[in-house]
Amino acid sequence: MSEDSALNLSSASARSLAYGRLAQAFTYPQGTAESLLSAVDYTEAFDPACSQLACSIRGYSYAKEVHPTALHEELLRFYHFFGVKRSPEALMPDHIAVELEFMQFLNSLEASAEEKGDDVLSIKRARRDFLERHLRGVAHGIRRSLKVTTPDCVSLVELMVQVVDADLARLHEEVGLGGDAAA
Amino acid sequence: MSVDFDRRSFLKGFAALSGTVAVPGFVAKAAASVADISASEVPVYKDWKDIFRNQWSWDRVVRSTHHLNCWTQAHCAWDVFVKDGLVFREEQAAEYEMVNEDLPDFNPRGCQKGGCFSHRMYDDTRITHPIRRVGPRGSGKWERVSWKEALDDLADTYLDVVTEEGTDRLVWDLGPGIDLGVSTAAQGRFSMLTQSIGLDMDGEIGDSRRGTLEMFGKIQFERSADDYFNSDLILFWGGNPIQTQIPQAHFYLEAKYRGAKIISIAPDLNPSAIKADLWISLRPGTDGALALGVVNEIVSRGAINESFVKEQTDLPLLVREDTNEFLKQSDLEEGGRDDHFVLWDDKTSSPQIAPYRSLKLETLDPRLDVSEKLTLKDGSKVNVRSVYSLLMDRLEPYTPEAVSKVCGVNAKMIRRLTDEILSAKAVASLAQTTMCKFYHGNLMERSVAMIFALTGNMGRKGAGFSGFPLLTPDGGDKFQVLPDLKNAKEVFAQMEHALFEPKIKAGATHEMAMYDFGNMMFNPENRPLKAPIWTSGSMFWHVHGGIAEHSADPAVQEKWNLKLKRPIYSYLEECLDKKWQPLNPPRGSEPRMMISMVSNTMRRMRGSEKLLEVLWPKLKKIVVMDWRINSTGRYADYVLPIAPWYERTSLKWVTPLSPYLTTTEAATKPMGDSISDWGVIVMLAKHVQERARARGITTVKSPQDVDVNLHTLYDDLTMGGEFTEHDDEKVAKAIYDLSETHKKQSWEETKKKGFARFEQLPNEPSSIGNMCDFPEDDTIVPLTYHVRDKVPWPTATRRIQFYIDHPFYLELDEQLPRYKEAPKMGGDYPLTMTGGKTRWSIHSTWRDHELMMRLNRPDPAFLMSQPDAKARGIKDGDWVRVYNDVGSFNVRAKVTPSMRPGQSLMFHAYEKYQFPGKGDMNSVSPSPLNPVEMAGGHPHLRAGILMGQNSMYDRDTRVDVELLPKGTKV
Repeated sequence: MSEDSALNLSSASARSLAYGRLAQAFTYPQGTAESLLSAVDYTEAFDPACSQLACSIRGYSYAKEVHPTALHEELLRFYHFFGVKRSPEALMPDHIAVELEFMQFLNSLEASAEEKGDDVLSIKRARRDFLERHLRGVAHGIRRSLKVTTPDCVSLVELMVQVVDADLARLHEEVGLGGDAAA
Repeated sequence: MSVDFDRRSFLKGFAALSGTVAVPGFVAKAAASVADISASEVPVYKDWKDIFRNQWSWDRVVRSTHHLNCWTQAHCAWDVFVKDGLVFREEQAAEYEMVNEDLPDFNPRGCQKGGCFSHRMYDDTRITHPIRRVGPRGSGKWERVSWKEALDDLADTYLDVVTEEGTDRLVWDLGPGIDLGVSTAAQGRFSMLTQSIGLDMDGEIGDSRRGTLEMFGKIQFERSADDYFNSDLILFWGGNPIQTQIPQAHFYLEAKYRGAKIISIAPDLNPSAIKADLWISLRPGTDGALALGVVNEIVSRGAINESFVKEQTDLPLLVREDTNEFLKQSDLEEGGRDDHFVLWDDKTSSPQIAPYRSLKLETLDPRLDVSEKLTLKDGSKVNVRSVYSLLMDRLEPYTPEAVSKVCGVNAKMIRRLTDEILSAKAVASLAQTTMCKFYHGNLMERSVAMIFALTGNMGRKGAGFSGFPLLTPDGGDKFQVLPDLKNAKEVFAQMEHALFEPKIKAGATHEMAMYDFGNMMFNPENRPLKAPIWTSGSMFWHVHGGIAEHSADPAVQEKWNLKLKRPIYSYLEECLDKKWQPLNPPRGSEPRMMISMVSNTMRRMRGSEKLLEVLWPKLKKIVVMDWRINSTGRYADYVLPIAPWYERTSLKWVTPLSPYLTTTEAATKPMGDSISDWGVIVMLAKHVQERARARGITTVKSPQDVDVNLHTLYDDLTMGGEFTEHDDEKVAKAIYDLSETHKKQSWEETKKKGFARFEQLPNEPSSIGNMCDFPEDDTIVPLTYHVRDKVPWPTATRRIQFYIDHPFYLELDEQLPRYKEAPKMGGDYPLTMTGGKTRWSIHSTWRDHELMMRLNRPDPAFLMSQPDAKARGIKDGDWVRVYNDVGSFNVRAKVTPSMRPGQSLMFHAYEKYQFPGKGDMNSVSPSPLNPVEMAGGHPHLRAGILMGQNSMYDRDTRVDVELLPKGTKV
């Protein structure tokens, strides 16, 4: 697999893969060969329960104007709307890995719809709104709050922000600004 | 489109990822799988408001609560709302039935901490997997490990320790979160089976209520909060209930509608003082002097309730002037008993043996003021005086004018306070554990309690001195000690009968026999049954933890104005040599493994840095069980993830203030790999058993020669697999069913409802001291069995005891209450650093929670008066350094008019890591030992469950403050 294809956001299936990889990278390394970060580096960078250096990778930390309960409700409503619910063993709904995984799912759904020749406007709008209302804020919040200087951690956060921003910019071109932003 | 990104090596690794997360975040709602969703039609989505068009519904709503130690507030039933396996919110379940139509009811119950626990349990501090340190202790570097890795390692270390050094080298640090329910069932059975040591934290956390023990022979008694509605005068003295008893503060204020007055006695204008009819501000640490001034007035006005004191107190009992000890029957008669005491009967003008099995005086008419010469059995003559007579001498200097100079309260105000007390029909105090956090807190408590005893304000509706509130269902101890639950009640009853009956025949009351039973936990030698072992936490930390080293230098005694007759270590040696205080493992036997459970020692321990220096190097493994990495966890080897209260089914003690057993029901599955306390301990037992069998280890002997079967530990702990690591609810049900305190509702009914009122006095050591009925339709009035039914008190003299004839008390002139000047702990510095419970957290559980920090100042705050701040050039919000001879810490100044000049205050429970730089609020508190609190070898001055152990103190700490350079915190 080439690097270009890993970062290719031009097709829904490519985006789905990119988001899936990001979700995987932001999940605690399970000690497999696939882990991008070491467990110690991950913990130090992204687990505030264990490390005072760590930054939060949870949406509630960067959405101070919204009560966490309301935030979680909206996230679950997004997930439910498209037919999925939180898995019992899952991370919290506002965890960056879960939000990235949802984007993986929406892009996968979009790829299937395209294959079937269905209208994908609804999915694109939902992706735009989810990015605008949730993922973008978390991604930029993490970039602002990242304290460690471990190169792979910095690179991962930068990559995520670039993917999110690039994807959102493209969606703005395709379907316009979201409701609040347009207003 | 390609993202322009130039980190080639990183991208290469990124490209190698499959994009599949190990634990998927989602499952399909309706389709067979997430992948199948793509086969169905995509819903129409125009904008984000579309997702809100469907009615929101909950998957389930369960009754639950928060089983931490909010003590006087414990507990409140909540509805907990669940969606997709997550708790979203909680709401007060205001369904407490009216007790009777003349009383305010208990609705609603809850506070702001409970109201945001669904947020707290899911915030960034939550840990969900076992973690192991990967750097030095305290380095903050961790990795996740599997339960098997963690528990095998711990089991092997444990087996090494017990086989090489002894069963008493594993110590359980049991914090104030101890539930005496399901969690304690696991730890208690583990301790019982392995003879490992549990630390009773009661004295160590400053809750000893030593003066109450000295006077009443027990500390655990309190009324229901609605009984304060029956009071005519409520004294907030040693407590701040408006701040610390949020769910029941309304009862105290509602009493005013009935005409009650509230008087707040406290140095600072605290939240309770502002609700009072009268606030009496006194110098910190002088409460005892003020109380003695009131007692002096009561006595000089002849306002003593004579019939009460003659019957219920030791005031008529005679004391030998040659020994200063009580005169006993054995002094007068051959074959006389040491536990029979003597009074002077006015009817016969002769010494008579005081009533023994009952307090009823029958035909006796004791004289109070006695000074006589008596002939002893050997023919010698001895002068005797009554306790009353000695008390009159003791009280003489404490005139309102003299006391006024000590405590800063005008003499007229002292007389007014006396007037208010004497004119009220029912006077109640509302104290918590403030006074016992002073070095001379025992004297303060006795002085205040004297007011109530002398005026007969005890054991009546709305009247009484406030003890230490505790109320526990009485099935927990049965579950802990029995091998299995076959015919459990009958087996336990037979065992209790065998233990109690001989004592009762010899004259003990049931309450006294129960205290002997509780005391047995502290004495592993010669016990009639295999039971868990508890020891004094305070003594453990002082000796094994090095806390006593803070005051090892005899010179500091002088400097700190402790006014002892000998070096502190001399008293400590005597106490340990005579086994007056329990200490296991004993001196010379080093602890090797510590499991900290529902505890946070490094946060709360006065002078806790010593532990890192002295105790930590001795320990091969330090384990913290919690759902977050608290201050102690940061210095541990392992932190094991515990399921918070919404994720498990359990029950726990409460207090008579709110006499409702309050249950939790697991609302969701535990997050990640979390598991309950019960589950962790059972799994540890399983791994110990497995590793013991693998290593060929079977039975070892405890130091007391008790068999410890390591190869069957799991089988024995689980009663042959009846209660496995997943069976929290079965355990809760078993404890409930074993309890005699709740019979009107089944366990299922109680779990569904969330609470059940106590129906009778629990028959177990930590609650029996309430000694009263638990009516369904009326208030709970403690101590009525003594006052109304004339059952003797569990003291040496079987009466409320003003006089203590123990050698340490005689040596330090504390045989009767007196005032002793507060020491200058930490050095001769101008500010006294007092303390108190915060409104914004329960212990440290919410201390660093962002919602609570938003409602309050987020940084640790040092409250100081305006004049003290001005004199040091300090403004509100400045960062300052607080220091004395033993340490320092950095904190924000909170300059407030509520503080009295000379007083400063740190509300408790800030985590160590919340203080910038080195040191925390405990760094300046050396907590020297007070010899009288180490006294033992005495019928009622001895260790029992949650009482009788020496305390630790911080309220006399002396400090000064300096402004930190502008813009700096350290």
